[in-house]
Amino acid sequence: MNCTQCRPLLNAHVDHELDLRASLEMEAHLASCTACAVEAERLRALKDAVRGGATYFAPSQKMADRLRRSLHRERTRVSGRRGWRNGSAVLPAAAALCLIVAVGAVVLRPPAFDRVADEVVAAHVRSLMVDHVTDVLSSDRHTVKPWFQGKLNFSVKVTDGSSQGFPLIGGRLEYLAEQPAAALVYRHGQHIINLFVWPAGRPGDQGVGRLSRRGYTAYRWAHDGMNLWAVSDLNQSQLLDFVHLIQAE
Amino acid sequence: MRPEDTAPFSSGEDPEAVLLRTAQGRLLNEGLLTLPVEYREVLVLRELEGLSYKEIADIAHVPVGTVMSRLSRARQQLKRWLVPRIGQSSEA
Repeated sequence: MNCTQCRPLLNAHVDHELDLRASLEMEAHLASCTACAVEAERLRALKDAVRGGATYFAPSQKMADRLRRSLHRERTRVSGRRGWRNGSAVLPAAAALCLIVAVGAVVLRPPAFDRVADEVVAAHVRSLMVDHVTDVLSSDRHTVKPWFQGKLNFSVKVTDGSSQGFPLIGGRLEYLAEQPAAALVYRHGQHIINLFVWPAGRPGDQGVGRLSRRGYTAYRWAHDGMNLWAVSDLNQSQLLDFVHLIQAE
Repeated sequence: MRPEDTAPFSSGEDPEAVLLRTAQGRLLNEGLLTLPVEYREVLVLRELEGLSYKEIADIAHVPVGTVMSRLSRARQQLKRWLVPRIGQSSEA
């Protein structure tokens, strides 16, 4: 790959949108080409600045309309799903975004959110890298829940999802958002799901939001003063099924 | 000027990258507002909502290629606007 081929793909590369082969060719070129490497670094710096700094954005009418239609499609699709309860306050991320758009402005997440999101996904990835993804290995929630007592100053609700294809495989201690957190580990087929739980610092609930990082999907919400994040490389709709299962308990 | 001619540094941090990272909230928002709306939207959907190119293409009803070119132009334009202005205003 030479510079002429590299430059048009540089944005896609820093966005992790290239396939494996193109991405490896790009890395090889960047390792030997200072000009392109510097350009990549400037792009990453700009991305970090935008993610960390921007706080307000008003979408165009056209975009607002499209998001609303996307919301309608998603609601229509979701309402046919097994296990969906009418009247539930849970909304997928696109729907949440649409609601905000409908009010006329999008107030974006504060910078701290992105740091927590990065931390949570990193914790998920790290848990997959070591020999044990659990500190307490048990599919029995009556073993896992008491294991956390004395290690965390909050009570952890442990759901067993095996009847819906999401068996509990154990638990683990984590440190997220500058405080101790519980990680409840589930499996769906060959995929691991980490459900991270920690106190939100304020009471009440917050609707479900979705984000993606490096090929992993995360759903986050708050319930009863607790932050919950479900992270996996599972596809979105299956992970959302898991989220609904946890919320239903 | 060829791309090979533009990189002055072979080691250490690139000064422009360092400068870009210090861009603060109000300046960034001003910069975002100077972008044409369709450029701003893809940049926000990408950086702040973490949507993939495919997801942005689906929502905006444009091909992925259009998302890519808008994103590239948005970033280029924003960078050109920001770099001379960072550290010049009195805002914190």
